Amino acid sequence: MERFSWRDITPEEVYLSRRRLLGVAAAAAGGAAIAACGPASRTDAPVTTGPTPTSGPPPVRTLSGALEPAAAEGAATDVARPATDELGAPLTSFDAVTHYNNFYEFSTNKEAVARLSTGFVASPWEIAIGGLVNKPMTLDLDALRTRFGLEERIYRLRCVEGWSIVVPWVGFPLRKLLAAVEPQSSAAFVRFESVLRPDQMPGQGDHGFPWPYTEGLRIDEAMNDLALLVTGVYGRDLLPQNGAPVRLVVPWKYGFKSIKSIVKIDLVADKPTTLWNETAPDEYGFFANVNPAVDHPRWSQATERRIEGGLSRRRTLPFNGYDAQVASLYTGMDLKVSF
Amino acid sequence: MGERPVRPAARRAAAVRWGVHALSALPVIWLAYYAVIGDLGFNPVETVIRTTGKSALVLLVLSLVCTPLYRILGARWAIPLRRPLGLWAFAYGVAHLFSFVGLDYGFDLGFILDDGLPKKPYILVGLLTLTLLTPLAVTSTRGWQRRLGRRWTGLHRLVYPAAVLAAIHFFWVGASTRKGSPYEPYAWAAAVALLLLVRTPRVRSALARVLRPAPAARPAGPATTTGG
Repeated sequence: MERFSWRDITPEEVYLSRRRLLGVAAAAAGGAAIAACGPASRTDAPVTTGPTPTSGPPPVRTLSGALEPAAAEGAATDVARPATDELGAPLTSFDAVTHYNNFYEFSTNKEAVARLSTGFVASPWEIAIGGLVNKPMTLDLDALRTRFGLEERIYRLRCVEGWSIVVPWVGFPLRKLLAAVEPQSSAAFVRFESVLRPDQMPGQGDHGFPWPYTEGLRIDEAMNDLALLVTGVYGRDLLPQNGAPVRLVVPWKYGFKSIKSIVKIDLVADKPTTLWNETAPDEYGFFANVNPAVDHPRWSQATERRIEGGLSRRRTLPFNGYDAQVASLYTGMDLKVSF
Repeated sequence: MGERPVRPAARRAAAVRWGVHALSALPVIWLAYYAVIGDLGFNPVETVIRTTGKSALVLLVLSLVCTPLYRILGARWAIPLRRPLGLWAFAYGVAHLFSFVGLDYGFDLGFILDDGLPKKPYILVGLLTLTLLTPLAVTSTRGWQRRLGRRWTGLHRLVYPAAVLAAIHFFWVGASTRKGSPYEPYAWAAAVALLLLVRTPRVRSALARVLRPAPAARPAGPATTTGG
């Protein structure tokens, strides 16, 4: 398979102008789309474009195809992607998803991350999976993108800061990778580590944080089908500002749990140290489940501002609206204590 | 407001005052321009809240610079700038509150209460700041100054706790509502602390001695200027 780096992607100004044209086309096609937004298309499960048993375009797309120059033009719209999540909320635009990024490794200014991350080299890349497993392995990008199959899932992402977006991610369930490495019975947690590259990530010069970024999940959380290892967004490879080339997305937890630019995954026996929990344990818990009933010490978590979702705030849903899928993971736990 | 500088450069003083008005209006002009062209960023409500709040803080701190400029450096022209700076700071503070209550929460007080906001220390601190500044804005006119006499000075000392609270408010606001360096709140807190420190008699006279080697006949300071 031929690999493309981020440098091969259509220049931003070009795709933005194309997107304007596409927007006009989309508006023209709007009448047809309305039918698809009716109650009949709603289900209780998160929206999955593929693999689906029903008709429609090929659900699983290898991303190298989407990045070929000819295909890149239509990449954002070449799939019959639902226009909304399963709750009916429209997707956040590609422009916002790629230009409003909380990624402290580059900047604390969300709208500066895209610009500051253009020099980040996301290919070649290797991710090492080890620790308490029978089959430790190192995967390169090709292996990540082909071995487990890719599917698109539309997830809400709720940042602990009180804003949210709706994103069509491309990836595969983390459980597939974990199954491949065969965790030992003593493995109780999964520890993730981001890349450490102060020369390419100016924010890592801020010594107020114990870089590299680390995160963790309990193993049953990691095995939940919603936990996704993501290599793409909007039908194309992840851009550096979104955590290229591979990141985690755990949609029922605050966004900081969805660690970006992963180089290492270890199965461990004890709860791992994680960056935000270590930096401010009173403010950022290990579990960090989206919970409107547990406020951040400095601000409320009862509401959120949806980017491009109108002016006023909306109420935050328990587990970010994924309670049917994940609430059972926490039976018997006091989520006000284990926040 | 201090005595109008009648003597040499009344015209220059007016120019400086208009300059202050023009500079103070820049944030609202900036917001209006970008609102009209639809480019307030991906989080426009936050942009409005952040810009109005930050403008209020900056102008409030600048209003605190005026009195030391006069008392330490003898810059008489600075005194008449306190009122426009303070009023602009208050106006931005009110706009800040309304963008929070109106834009963010659609004037839905039930929604705001449900959100637990009254329990949030930074909201309370922000409200208290604005509460302290309100009587100062109301009594900033010459008429009120005359009516209150000596009490006016005492009343307008409320700007000190207001500035401290504003700095704390900025400190406690979530990172989501700040932009730029995470260390910026420390800088504003330091600025407020410094501006209060130079008002203590000992520091003030020491600085005046160092910075104004020819103290000759420094005016005792108009009674009406001690409040700022």
